[in-house]
Amino acid sequence: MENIEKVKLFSESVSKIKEQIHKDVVGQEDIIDSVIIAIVSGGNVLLEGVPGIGKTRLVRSLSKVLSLPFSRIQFTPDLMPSDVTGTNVIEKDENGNMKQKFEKGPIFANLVLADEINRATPKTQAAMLEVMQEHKVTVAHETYKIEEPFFVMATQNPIEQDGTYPLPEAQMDRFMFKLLMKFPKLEELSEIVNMTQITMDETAESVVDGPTILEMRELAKGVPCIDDVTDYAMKLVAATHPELEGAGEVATKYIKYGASPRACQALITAAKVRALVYGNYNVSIADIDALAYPVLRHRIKVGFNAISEHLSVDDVIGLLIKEVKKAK
Amino acid sequence: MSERFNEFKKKMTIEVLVKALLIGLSVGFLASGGAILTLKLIGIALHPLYIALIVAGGLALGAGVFSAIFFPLKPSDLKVAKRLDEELGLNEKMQTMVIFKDSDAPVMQLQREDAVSVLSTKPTKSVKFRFSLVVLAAFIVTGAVFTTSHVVPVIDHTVQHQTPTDPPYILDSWTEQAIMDLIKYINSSEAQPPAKEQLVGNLEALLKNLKVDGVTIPQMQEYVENTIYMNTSSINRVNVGDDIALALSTADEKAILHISSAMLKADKNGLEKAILELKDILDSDGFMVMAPRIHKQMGQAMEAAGIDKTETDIARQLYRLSNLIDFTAKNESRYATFMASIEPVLNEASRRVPEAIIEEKVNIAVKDYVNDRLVKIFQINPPEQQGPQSGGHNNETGNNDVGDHTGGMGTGELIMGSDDVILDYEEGYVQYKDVISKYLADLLALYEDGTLPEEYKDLIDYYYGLLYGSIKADEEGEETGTPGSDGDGTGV
Repeated sequence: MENIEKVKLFSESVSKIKEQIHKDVVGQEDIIDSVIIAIVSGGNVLLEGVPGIGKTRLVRSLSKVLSLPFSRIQFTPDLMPSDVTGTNVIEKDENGNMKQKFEKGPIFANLVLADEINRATPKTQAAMLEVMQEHKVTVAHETYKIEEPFFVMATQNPIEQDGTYPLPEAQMDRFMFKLLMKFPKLEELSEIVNMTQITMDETAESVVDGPTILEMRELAKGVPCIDDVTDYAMKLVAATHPELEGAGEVATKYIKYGASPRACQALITAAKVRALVYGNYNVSIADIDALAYPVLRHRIKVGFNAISEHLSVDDVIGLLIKEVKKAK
Repeated sequence: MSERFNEFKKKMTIEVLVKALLIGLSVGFLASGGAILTLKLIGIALHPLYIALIVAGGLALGAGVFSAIFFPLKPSDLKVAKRLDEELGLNEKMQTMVIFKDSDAPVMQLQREDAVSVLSTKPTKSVKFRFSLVVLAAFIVTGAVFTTSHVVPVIDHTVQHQTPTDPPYILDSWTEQAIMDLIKYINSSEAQPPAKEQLVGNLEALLKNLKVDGVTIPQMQEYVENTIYMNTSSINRVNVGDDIALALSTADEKAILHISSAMLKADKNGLEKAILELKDILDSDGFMVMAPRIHKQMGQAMEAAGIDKTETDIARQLYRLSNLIDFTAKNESRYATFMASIEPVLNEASRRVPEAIIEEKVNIAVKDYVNDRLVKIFQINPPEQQGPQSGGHNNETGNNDVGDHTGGMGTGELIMGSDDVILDYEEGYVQYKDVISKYLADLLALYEDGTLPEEYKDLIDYYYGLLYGSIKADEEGEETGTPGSDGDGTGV
């Protein structure tokens, strides 16, 4: 197929994916869009939401639609790194000889749901996050690559704080997005109840496969982004740093520390995918503005002033966007 | 670029063109109009050629400003794209299309198609024509300045100084009649004809001047003061008695001193007696010695004093007497024939000279009366000095005037003609100038009758020599000439 045709079909493919997912997941359009963007971009997602709002169902449905193997890892305080990555086991071969065999862990899937990642110990968290970063596992000097596309959606429960090991900022930076899954609206809740009364199984059908996702990823890389947009994304990330010379009022007043350069990479990469997802063929400032929230909210730490003024991280990000646009 | 894009670009180009034109014209209007208006306001009138040159210069400046604004601001494809993205909400589609116009990537081809497709749905009027009200206002204001500069006339800053006009003087009939009455008085007075003629002439000249149109009061005062001055000068010219008396006061011969004294006092009888005293001196055998002596002291003294007033009766009489005494003495050897020749002349002189002295006093009296009347008629302050002060008698000064010199009465000020008031034993409080001649005559009389010793003669000579300017205070011993002449007066 001509590349042009493939580009044209990109948004169609995404529409189909969304359509199928909506068969199993009610509402949460923004979350679904962001998850798709993250998958196509090659990033991972940290999802925060109360229990029972469909986090597992989303990933499971996604795996069906994308025809990708799915695994769910429930993180508990006693979870060991080998429980995630896999370990070598001793077994008898057909000749009865003892040999080592690597038993792959649940991480060896294309779509992984790391549930309540903040409940595991930092060691287990680190093992998980290392795989997320490198897309490979090294056990006993043997390296095992994870098949692409590889996507991890980690979850955190916003309520439960006792007995948790909050992810350090450096680890948080490895997630492309942090998405906030809200409680469904009343009408959505009604639809969920009605739907699950019929069946609890996911009814979504497969519309794309892994190679297609990879193709889409390559296509998205070719989406043009003019310098003005790139500059805007960089200024937005730089504006989160109060220690920089010429720091704006928002950063100085409300932010304790700002986002890393990964945020800038995430913004541009995701913006290119987003443009194609919405049927555009260029990155725009509107794309950057929309992606600023999921990209930055887990990468900046607000200060006491924001807390005392009851400003959430998203509120501060909104102020940053206004400040950067005003300065433009 | 697409056709629609070019349409937008054309619209934006026109916008910049209009803006640059308005600004250029505004600058041109301000420069030329401001210059012309400024010059007119400060009063400089310009030739139309110069105005045209200034306007041309302003337009040239405006053209320069237009170019400086239009070409840099002329919208490029990227500027147009940026503005389209901003105003039409195209999310950087246009800018991406322009920047990556040379890219053959599949996505770029689709992007271009998409951008063109989206833009085609936007009419050109969806981009509003940007018009700066400030620029428009500036154009209107500068246009008004330019128009005003051509309409307003040159402001004339010449200040018309109005000299304060003096109040006019109008000669009324009463004043004219008063002057006419004065003329009648003069003509009917006992003054000598030359004196009358001078005084009447002066008054007629005054009347003539006052009848001229446009005479002001200060001018009238000046005319009257000049008339008073002229009256005094005229009488001084006519009266020679005192001049002769002062000239004769340089003599040693007592008889001549007596004549001088009597003349100064205007003592008619004394003058008769003093002239006839010469007869007694000559009526002896020593006439051949006395005659030249008398001639020298009398005739030559008068000549040395510059009294060349042979027109006057007094001078003529005395010159004739002096010359005849000398001539007869030289040509007659016998006393009897000598006396026979000079006696009639002596007698005539003794009669005529005193009469003339009295007549001169009448001249002065008439002149004083006329001057007093003029002061009263015109109600002016009497002039302090009647005429310029200068030394000697060869000038038209008032009686008793002498030149500026030091000495006299120990004050260092001019005494002769001074207005200093003294207490005279006969006259009471008078001005010194009015009695000084009387004092000189009295001193001479005292000297003649022996009351004053010989040695006082030199003192008298010196004192009156200073008064009359014949001696300078710092030139003691240089006593020459008659009293009153500059630097060469002699003592009395």
